[in-house]
Amino acid sequence: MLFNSLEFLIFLAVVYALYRALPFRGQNWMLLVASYVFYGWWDWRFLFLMIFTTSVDYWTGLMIDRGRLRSAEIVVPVVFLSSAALVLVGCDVGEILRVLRGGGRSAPVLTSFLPYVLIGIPAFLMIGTLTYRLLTSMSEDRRRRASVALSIVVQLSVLGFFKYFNFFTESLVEALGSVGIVAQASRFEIVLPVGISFYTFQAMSYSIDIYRRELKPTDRFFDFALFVSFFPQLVAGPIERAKNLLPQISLPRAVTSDQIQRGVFLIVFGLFKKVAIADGVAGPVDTIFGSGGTITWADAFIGTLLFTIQIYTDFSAYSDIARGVAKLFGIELMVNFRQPYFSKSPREFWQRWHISLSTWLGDYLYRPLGGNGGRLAFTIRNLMLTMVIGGLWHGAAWNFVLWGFYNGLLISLQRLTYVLRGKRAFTQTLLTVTLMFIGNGILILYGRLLFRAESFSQIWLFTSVLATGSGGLDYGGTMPRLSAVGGVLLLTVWEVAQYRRGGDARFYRELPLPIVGFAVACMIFLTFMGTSNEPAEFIYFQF
Amino acid sequence: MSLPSSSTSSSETALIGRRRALKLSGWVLLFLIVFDIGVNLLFAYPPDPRDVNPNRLQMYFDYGRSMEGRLRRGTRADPKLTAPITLAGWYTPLVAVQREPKPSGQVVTIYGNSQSVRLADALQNSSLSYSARTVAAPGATVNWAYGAFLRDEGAKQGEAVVLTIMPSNLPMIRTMSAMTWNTSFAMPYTADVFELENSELVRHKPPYETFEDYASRLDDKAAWHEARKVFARYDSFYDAFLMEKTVLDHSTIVRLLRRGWAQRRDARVRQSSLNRRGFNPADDSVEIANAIIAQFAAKARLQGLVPVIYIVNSRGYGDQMFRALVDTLEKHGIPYVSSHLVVDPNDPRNYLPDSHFTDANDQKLANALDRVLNIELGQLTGPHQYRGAVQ
Repeated sequence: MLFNSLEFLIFLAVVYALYRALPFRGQNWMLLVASYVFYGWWDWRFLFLMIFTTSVDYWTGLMIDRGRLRSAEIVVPVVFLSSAALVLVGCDVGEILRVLRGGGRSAPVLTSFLPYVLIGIPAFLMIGTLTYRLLTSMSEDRRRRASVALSIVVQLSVLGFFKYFNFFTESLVEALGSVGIVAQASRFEIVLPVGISFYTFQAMSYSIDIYRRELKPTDRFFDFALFVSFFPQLVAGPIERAKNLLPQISLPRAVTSDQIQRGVFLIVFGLFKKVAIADGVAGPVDTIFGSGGTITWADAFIGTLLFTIQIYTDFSAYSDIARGVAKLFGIELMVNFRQPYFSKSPREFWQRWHISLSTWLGDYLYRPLGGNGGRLAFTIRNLMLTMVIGGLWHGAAWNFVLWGFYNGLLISLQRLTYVLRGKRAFTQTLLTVTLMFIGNGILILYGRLLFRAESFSQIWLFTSVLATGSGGLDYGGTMPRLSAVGGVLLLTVWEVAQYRRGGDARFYRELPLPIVGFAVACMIFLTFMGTSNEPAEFIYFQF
Repeated sequence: MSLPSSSTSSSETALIGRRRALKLSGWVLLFLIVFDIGVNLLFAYPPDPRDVNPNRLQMYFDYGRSMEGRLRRGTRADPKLTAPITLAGWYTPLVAVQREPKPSGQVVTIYGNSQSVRLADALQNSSLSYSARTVAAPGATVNWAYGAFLRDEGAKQGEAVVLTIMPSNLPMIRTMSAMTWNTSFAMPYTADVFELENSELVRHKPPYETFEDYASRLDDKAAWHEARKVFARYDSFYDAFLMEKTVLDHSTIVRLLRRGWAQRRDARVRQSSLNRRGFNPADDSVEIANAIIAQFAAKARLQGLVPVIYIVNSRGYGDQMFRALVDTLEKHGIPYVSSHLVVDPNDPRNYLPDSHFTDANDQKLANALDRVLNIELGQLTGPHQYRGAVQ
């Protein structure tokens, strides 16, 4: 279910009406069911995967903290997980729904996985019992370490299998082939579950925070399940921390009128960016990067520039809508973007772009590796590792690895320059600031090319065309839609105004109402214009 | 906005916030109304049906007007006063354009749309043997083209017939009029609809086939209602929200939303027949297309004509159309020219901005057709088992 679809608007209206009518506990139950419906809209089977990782992290969180589980803490998740396995994997939910709607049966209700489910449930219970006994027999320190390791291994195994299995086996086969060893990759038809990277990282932060004694685990299984599956940010972030989101779920909430106003504004703003701009430039971008023919300098430059616009307006739109919808439920999600294209350096860019991921990588990868606490070479190693893994997080493809490497290189160079200059920053005059904006802008643009390219050969082709000016200004792509042209102009004015007011996202509250009304009306009108753009999935859904 | 002082209670703050929100909503609403009216005034669509050159913004803001509203604005019973596009594509009289005869006296009739006309012009330019004749309608789908072939008596005088098929309008194969699916232009011409019943093609004729009949029905409420019922029954794209004229046609915003609705409808239909792997062979549109080309070839051969299928692989579609048809083509030994063998469909430079092939590419395709015809008519020795296009 896309945020920019009629189904979602109807879904949100129903969920919100129920939310306002229900008491606190009822709200949480309803939100959990709504989140599962929202996720199951893509593929019901993968809901089981989420429930599985939820159960494992719930148990490991409690085991890290207190080393014992109460009977209800075992029974409730076991019953829920087993039921989920039987219904979501053992049965064809789509078929059941079709039958319930009176559409008649066109396929068996039970799937071929049912025998595996029937064997798997007792096997899982047995392994779980043995693991539990083993963990309870350990000293506290060892138990804590073993439990957090178990959580991380399970999470990364699921992520690794679904996202990276084919990539690594194919890469291995290619590598063997290049040294003359012929190997056959047994490729599985693995479908990537939507949003798996997001909810896996979110769940991992929970157990790591408990291990670090920065968080107390919840003993309410369904509150934790809602933390993992909360639908506004489920499939493309922000990647929330349990420290921020879980207390808001566990404790009664009040929805303020300020939250409603800001929430509605964020939804309008997000839809404007997605529908009017991102979808309005998607066509030309796809044409240029999908082209098998001649590419000119104008094609490569305009294609990359438009993709730079597309990915920001697409991804930040999702975050805005997610935050806006959460606010309607009285829940505050973290800010994910702070005007990233106004950065003056690569490091600053990563403090402004996809903040929930960059801070996650900083907290759970860069600092555990040692951060910048040692010699320069050690810091650079940590930076490179963090950025390459961050690149790979985005997708199982070598261009993402290269993109991560490129960003690691830029940040490392910046660090190197900083150290070589005796840890003094550049003096900020109008000239140096302008040069920094432009220079960093070019670096961001080239990074976008690495990110969007469909192959290494395309990266090479575009790079050589950009470097040599081959083909000149002859543009062969399609033109952006009118809504995108108007939208980019409006967004630029809006963001410049925001930047000049210190980046305060609520700067508009200080403006006269008619001006704000005019700007919002323009956004809505351009969004209406954009409804005729080809509706596209949010780019980050694939990650 | 004044910030609340420490003495301001939270309920007062909330009240101020609510008032501000209400006022802001009022301003937003006011500006939206201003935009709605302003666009109508600034970019009003020319009222004269014969004005065929509205500017791009006038067209942009008019696209979402109901089809009925656009047809009523553009249609006049007198053909001299009506919008030219309302006269195009009718089965009766079937308009065939015959180009200059060639010394050989051989004629090839090409059925389809503007792609067919361009191919015919190029063939006429370059072929030593074949004179091109076209029966075409703007944006016509293959069911229209096949319906035209079934009605065309003139083709029997020629040697070959060519049926054009393209992927971009393949999902519209079950439509009875361009007005139900083409939201860019109001084209009222009608087409036969074909359905498969027990693997046999069943033909449903439209409720009217002439401009005069259409114009008189449009003026007759009951007759128009009856015609719409037929479209609703047989046309898979018929949508009352897009078709029927209401007072909301006057609102720019409603028109924009209606256009968005139409685009999403089109995308939904396209996705049901085409995914990343290609056309779904089990989809109705693909099955009907295969049945049409098989029946077209059989009927042409019965009349002593050489049938050729011209597969236009539209920009961005790769060779999907060819792959959806190739089994039928090979099974029945039907000659074809598939553009992907001549023009790379992934290179945008091979196409004009309006998605036609460039002139040079049309010429290459015409040469390919010329060669296929030469082989089929026995005027060229070559790899006889090969029936496709070669450069």
